[in-house]
Amino acid sequence: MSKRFWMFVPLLAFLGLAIFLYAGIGKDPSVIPSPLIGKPVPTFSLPQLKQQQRLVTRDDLLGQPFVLNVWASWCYACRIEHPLWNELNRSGQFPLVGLNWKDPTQDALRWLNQFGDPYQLSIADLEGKFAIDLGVYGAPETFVIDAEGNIAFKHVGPVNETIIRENILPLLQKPEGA
Amino acid sequence: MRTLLLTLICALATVSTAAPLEFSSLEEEQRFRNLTEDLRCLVCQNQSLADYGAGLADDLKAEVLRLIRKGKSDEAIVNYLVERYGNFVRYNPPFEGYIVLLWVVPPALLMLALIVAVKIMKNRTQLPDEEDME
Repeated sequence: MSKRFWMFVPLLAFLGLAIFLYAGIGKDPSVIPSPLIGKPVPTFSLPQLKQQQRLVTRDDLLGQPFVLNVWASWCYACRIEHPLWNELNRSGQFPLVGLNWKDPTQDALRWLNQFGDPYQLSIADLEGKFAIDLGVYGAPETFVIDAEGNIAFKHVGPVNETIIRENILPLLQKPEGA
Repeated sequence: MRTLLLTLICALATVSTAAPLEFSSLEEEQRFRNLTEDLRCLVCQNQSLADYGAGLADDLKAEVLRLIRKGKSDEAIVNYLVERYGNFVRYNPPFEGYIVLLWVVPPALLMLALIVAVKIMKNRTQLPDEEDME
């Protein structure tokens, strides 16, 4: 090996490291990637928030892609994204299911009255067991579930228009079995 | 004075408000402590489950205790949480995958730097020869 080669090695090593580190810039290190992407939504049986004598199970939600939004009245950041859900549901057709996480029912209902209820239905997870099964560690979190009941996408934190446009809407348009 | 009071209130607000867990035996408590010290609090992220009392940490600690009482092994309990939250939930991450890179690359780079430094210093102390005339 020529001696010149060795002089370039530090530069090459630096470039390699720089590229590797640059790839990490802009990524939020506190966001934990979900190991559940591609896996089926865990089974559950929980009451509907507004009609607690009625239970919802996983099977009730299969058949078309939908968005599952984890929210709670004690979650401040949920108020930031909430107008976006309201806007999407203006026509009343947006497939949005709410997962009300560890929230006293009265507080949750009051919150929906105050800020708007864009959810086709909200599920009351008072104990938080279903949320743990979903790997939820903070609110708000948003999942997209495909028609077969598999988790196709997860976002931690408030959604914004870019995420809705680029990540959520395309997944909702996928026909069953695609 | 007002800021001092406000700080105090905020500090107190972070204390767990859940009832302390009751253990049925010393053994159970020991297993619980061992497990929760090896699991990460996902909200505060730089502390173990044993250290902090955020709401989610309380829920996860209750889960751990529930699984201990169900007779699950330590490994099964950790896997239960890893299935849901990924390897990040392990406070002591396993030595596999990209974590190996994290341990190996810095010393490897250091070795490389030393080798290159030695080579360059050796070249400088040698008299110029035909190779350098290219």
